Amino acid sequence: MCNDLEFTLGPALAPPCARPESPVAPTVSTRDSDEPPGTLAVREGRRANGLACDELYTCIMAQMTPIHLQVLDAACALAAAGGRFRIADVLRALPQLNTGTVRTHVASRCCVNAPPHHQSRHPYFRALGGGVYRIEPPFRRRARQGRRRSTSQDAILASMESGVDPTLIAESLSMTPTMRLEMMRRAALSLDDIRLR
Amino acid sequence: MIPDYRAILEALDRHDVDFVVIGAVALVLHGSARVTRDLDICYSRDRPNLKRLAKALKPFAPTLRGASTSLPFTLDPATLEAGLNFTLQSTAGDLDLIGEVTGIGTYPAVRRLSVQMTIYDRAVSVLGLEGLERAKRAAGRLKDLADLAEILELRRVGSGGE
Repeated sequence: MCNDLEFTLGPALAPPCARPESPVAPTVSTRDSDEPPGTLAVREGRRANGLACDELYTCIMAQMTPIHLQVLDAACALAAAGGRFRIADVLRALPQLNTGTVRTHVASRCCVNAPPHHQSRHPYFRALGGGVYRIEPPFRRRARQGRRRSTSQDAILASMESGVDPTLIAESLSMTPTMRLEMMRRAALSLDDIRLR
Repeated sequence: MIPDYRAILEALDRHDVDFVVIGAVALVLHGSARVTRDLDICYSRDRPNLKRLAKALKPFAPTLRGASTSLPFTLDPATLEAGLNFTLQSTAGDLDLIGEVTGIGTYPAVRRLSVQMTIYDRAVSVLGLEGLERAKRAAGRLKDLADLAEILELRRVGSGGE
């Protein structure tokens, strides 16, 4: 599993000095000296399944980075003057991600002048034609900020662990899928009823 | 409008539409306690399947959700072929037709990550927890990250399939 994970580190999370010239993603350690204490206990160990623990930590953090941010960071790292970049270069820079997914993000989900096919959109890029895109000015600074801090992701990890009610899940698992669906539908109808009152 | 899941799933099944239930409803079918107001399905983009899909949904008079009522819209195979993802409202409730799931890909890839569940006495393909996790990570919205916590918990305690 660790070996699969180590390829998820793209240029987005690597420090500027470690950004690859080649499309191969680095597996460098990006341990921070000023991170919050006790961020993850896994950092205290020396090695796990052949990976140094700080490398493992980096891999886990990369897994937690939403794709739209990985795409934005890759575009920023690749962009020429004026924030221009080619979609093909972004595809090559993110070999760990599904090609279709990256293409969809650049050309549609994160493109301000694409048809609104997605419910969640991010106004990062503008299509200029011929496979060339431009990063919208408010988002160009990301590349110069170096490695994104992982503190916010640590916070998300914490909320994930505390936000699940295992009692509700256990109750749900005692039902059949059809019963779950019907119960959820009744709950949604009930919420609608409350809203209308 | 909250979907009549039984009516939609029965219509799709009756017309042999190739589809996979995805999104929050799939999550609920696996045991999540969340509530959603629409039904998302990933559909095969094969031309014969587009015909079957259009035919199955026709009785529900689907229109584009959130679009002006004056906007002409007919959900036929040509419309489906020209687009990819459709957010629809219908007499049976809100329905999203997704041609490509972010983080996974098109129908064949989604199908590979699906499991069979018995819903309303019919075998229905539902995106598995691994696929849901990939899709949620890719979408990356705050609610998706919250869903991830439930997915991880569900994967920990085991599958909720019938």
